Amino acid sequence: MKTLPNFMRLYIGKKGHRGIRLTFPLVLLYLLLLLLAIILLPLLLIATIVLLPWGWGWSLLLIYPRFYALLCALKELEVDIEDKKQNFYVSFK
Amino acid sequence: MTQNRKKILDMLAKGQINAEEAERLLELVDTPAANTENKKTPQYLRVTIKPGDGEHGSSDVERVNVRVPLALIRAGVKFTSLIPNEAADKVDCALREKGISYNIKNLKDEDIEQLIAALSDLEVDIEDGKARINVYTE
Repeated sequence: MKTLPNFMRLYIGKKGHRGIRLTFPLVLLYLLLLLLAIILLPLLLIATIVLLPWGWGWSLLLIYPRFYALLCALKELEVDIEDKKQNFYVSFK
Repeated sequence: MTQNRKKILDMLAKGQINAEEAERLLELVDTPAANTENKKTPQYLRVTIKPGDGEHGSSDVERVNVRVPLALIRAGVKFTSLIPNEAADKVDCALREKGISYNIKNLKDEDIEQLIAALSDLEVDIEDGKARINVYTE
């Protein structure tokens, strides 16, 4: 079963310095997104009806499930880049 | 009869491919490398860049270690269903002008799965003395 990532770990820093180290609980972001999704739902329904003659209508309703799938797919994404001056690391767990 | 053989024969029956193409496809399906159904589906695409082992191996080279879940490709491709028909037609026209005859709306889930299954054999290893680049799936 697809599950959403729980945490985003981020590290940006120059070598020899502490840099920014952040473990961000994504549930906070999900709450905001949920709120935004609820607010935008009536507008989306109106846009669906308005754009129906142009062939875009019903596919607009797929935005939410597709976006959810995209967020789920971010789980286990890991990017680690290091050069001689600085480090960048981000991962979704 | 495997699913792939059945699909090829169906395409031949519908006239989508000719007998020669069907024969070539059946040969490909019969080769052991083509039987990806029994293989474990890869989960991640890995890209790594490390300084080379040779005398020219440089510490100036960036070290890169990226792990991309292949589910991200699936999710991204599924976004094509959000493209309105008019826009998709324009994309198809632009592709046709470049000599690519492909309809992006025809991209189906099973095509993506086949593509991902085929990626299990992907392995790119480049070394130029300064850096070593690896691209593979796991």
